[in-house]
Amino acid sequence: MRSAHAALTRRALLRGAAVLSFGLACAPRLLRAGSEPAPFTPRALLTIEADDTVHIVMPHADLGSGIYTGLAQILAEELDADWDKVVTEHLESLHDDFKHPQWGVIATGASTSVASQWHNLRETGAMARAMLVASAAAQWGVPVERLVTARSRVRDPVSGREARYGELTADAARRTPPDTVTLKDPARFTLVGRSLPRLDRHTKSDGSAVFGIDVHLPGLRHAAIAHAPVFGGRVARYDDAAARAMPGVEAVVEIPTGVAVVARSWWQAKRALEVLDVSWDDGDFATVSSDDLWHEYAALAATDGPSFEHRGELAFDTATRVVEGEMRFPFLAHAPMEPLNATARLHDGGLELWAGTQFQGVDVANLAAATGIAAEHITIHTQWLGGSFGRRAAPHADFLVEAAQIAQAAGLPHPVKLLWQREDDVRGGLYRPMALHRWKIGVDAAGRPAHWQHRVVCASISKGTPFESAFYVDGFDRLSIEGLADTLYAGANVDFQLHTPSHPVSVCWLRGEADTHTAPVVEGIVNRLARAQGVDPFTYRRALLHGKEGAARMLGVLDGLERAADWATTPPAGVFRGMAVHTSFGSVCGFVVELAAHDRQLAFHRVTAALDCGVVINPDAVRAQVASSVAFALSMALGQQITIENGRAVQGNFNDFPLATLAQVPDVDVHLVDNGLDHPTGVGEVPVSPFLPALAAAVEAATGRDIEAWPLVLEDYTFRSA
Amino acid sequence: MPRTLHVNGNVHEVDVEGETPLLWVLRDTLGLTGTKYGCGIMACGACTVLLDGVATRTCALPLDAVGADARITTIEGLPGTARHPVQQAWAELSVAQCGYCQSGMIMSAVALLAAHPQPNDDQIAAGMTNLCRCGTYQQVRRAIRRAVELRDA
Repeated sequence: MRSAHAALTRRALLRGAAVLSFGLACAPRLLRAGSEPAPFTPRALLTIEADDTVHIVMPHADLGSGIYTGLAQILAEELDADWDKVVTEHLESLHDDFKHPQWGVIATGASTSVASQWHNLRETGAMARAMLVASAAAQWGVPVERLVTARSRVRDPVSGREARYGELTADAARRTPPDTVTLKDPARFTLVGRSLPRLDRHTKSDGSAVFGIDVHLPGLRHAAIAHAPVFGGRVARYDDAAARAMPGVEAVVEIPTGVAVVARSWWQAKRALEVLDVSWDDGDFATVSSDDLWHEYAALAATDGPSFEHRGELAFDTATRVVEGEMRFPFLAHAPMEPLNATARLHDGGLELWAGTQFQGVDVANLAAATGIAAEHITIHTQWLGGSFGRRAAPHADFLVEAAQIAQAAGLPHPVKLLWQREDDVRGGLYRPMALHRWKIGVDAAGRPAHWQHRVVCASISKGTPFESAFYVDGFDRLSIEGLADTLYAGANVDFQLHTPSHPVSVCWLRGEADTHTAPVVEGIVNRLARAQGVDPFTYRRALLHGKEGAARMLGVLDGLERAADWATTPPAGVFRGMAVHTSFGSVCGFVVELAAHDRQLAFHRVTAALDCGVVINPDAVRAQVASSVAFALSMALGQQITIENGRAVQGNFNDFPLATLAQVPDVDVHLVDNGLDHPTGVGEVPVSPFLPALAAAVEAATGRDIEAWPLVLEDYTFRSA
Repeated sequence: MPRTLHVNGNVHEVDVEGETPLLWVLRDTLGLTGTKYGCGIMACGACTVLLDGVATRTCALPLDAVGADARITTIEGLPGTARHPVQQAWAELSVAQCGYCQSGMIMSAVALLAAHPQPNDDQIAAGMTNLCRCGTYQQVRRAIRRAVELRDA
């Protein structure tokens, strides 16, 4: 493992760049090799230095949710580490120890980081602690059982003797790891469950955090790229004479996904791109618009498709009442604030990449396939990433592969940083799929959905990617139906069907995933059924879930939400409310949204959330995720959509693909519900989906009109900002 | 043609095309990478710096439009999380999530407090138009109120 000091120095180098050279950066490591006691690295992700510093290499990327802090808390807890000595580091290695414990590849996603590392990090911390204690016991000639640890020290309560962990590292490093370790009784936790401030709070408040876009290397060149404007299009031919004549331009190269300009500065590359003359072979999709796609989807929704959930026998003629409905969801871009970028350096037949990415293990395979460079000669230096929401988990590693291919094609003796323009991102596909849901529900005398026919029309995310075998099961992409397939609200007779059209617009996971359309549909149906029956939606849900296997956590969250939102109290005149509760990513989250309506203007009156995410590692960080997810969801509700005209994405930047603003986003009262789970479950993706139907229900109550499409069509109503 | 640029109390001689946006001069020429590129159309505010004390978006502001005597302050020119009340509040409340927009957000907050030392909710909403995809807005509001307390303490 690379020495921590060298790693830190290299990072400083990447930042301030101009004044340092690479040779200098390595000097501290060489100097310290023989002159300091050995550090203790029981596993690749943990190193304890002789100065007591605890370095934890992060097996997952922190997309912003604060998992670096949370993961460190878990390990430090079992290690009994001094929290002030804990330092987190980005992943630089592709060592097996860093593989996702469930997925078997180095990757981050699906809100699994804390949940999946819970045991691994506890065990690593406990193992290291046991080895340090064993070292102290051997040195002092006392039994290990009587030694205690706290704040990176081992103490013998009998003799009063103490040793810092750093004094024990050299000996501990020579010990054989124990076969088994004892984990702490959670009642003794001192770090897990505490709202410790984030470890990255300083560097992200003073501009010093280095994101992929900030990476600097000696001789660095910059690239901008022109992508095919039509989905599925390709370069037909190009004339680069004008571009090459522009200041700073050093190369113009064609790669499979476009034409790139390499220049001394990114602005020069971008300016040259504007005069680059490219003719595109647009392909068949050039005549297609969103209307055409919706016609196709609606036609599919009118016909039977294969059933992914089929039980009982639908008999609508026996129902007390039959309701039908439809809901449409547009394509959505991730639009992380940091436009996609990667820096590639070729040397000695190898490839080094610097990038913010969720998918190091997947990227390496993609890069090897695209460049012909063997995986063992590829290194990825993970950087801070300026948002991702799934976009930097690119199944084909698009922006990383492009950077590597541009560096290869340019043939310059320099590293190359490819930076996409915002428009490349918003128009570039890998969208949350557009989806159409149609349902027909036969209600029994008690108002319950006794007969439920449901059709989903949604393109497959996983087909044709490395994830097909994981998600495309029995002809159904689970990524199209999560959140619906296993709904606990349905009765005995169910026929859930999925149509899987395909089109050149690539689709991908977006924060919240399929639940961003299945939750608004399922919870919207439940809210409407309750309304039609004249039953309070809280009472209605309780009745549907009561006695159902697996409903205990949902009921617990419902009850917590009901209390926290004072649901039993009638809201003041002019205030309309809606609720929703949804299970996703192993967690349950509910919202109550209250809207004040006045003169056809809607304004947030109060928003309450309840979340059961199992063991809470850092309550403030979890609350921040729930509260901030409302902005993400509100963006979906209040205007975001990607539409297609002539095969191209119409929207291109934040002016026409708007993000919710500070003035629009309400405060959120977040309640964490403890249903007794003994491990953590997902957080980051979870709250987005339940907010949507809670908002929709409040809008429906205020306007008297049913929501049938997203973003919300409010007609003569408007949302008032603060 | 070389020209001078006053940034964070230092005088720099820069020689780039005059149509280059100030953002790219700061980032690529001067190595001040705390200021970020987000949209290129001055819609998101990730590129916000103080230009003579006024919060200014720089991703489409040509260098030629920046006066020779203009004083530019970037995030690197603030005294840091130990000394500046805004940065201190930001760190104390762990406002940043991915953190990418926060340099611009902090510069806007500094300008807001200069214009409105005791901002009310409407002034905060009107002054803080920077975009944050993580959605840290509630924490931004709290941090601005906390910065006022820290400043006045």
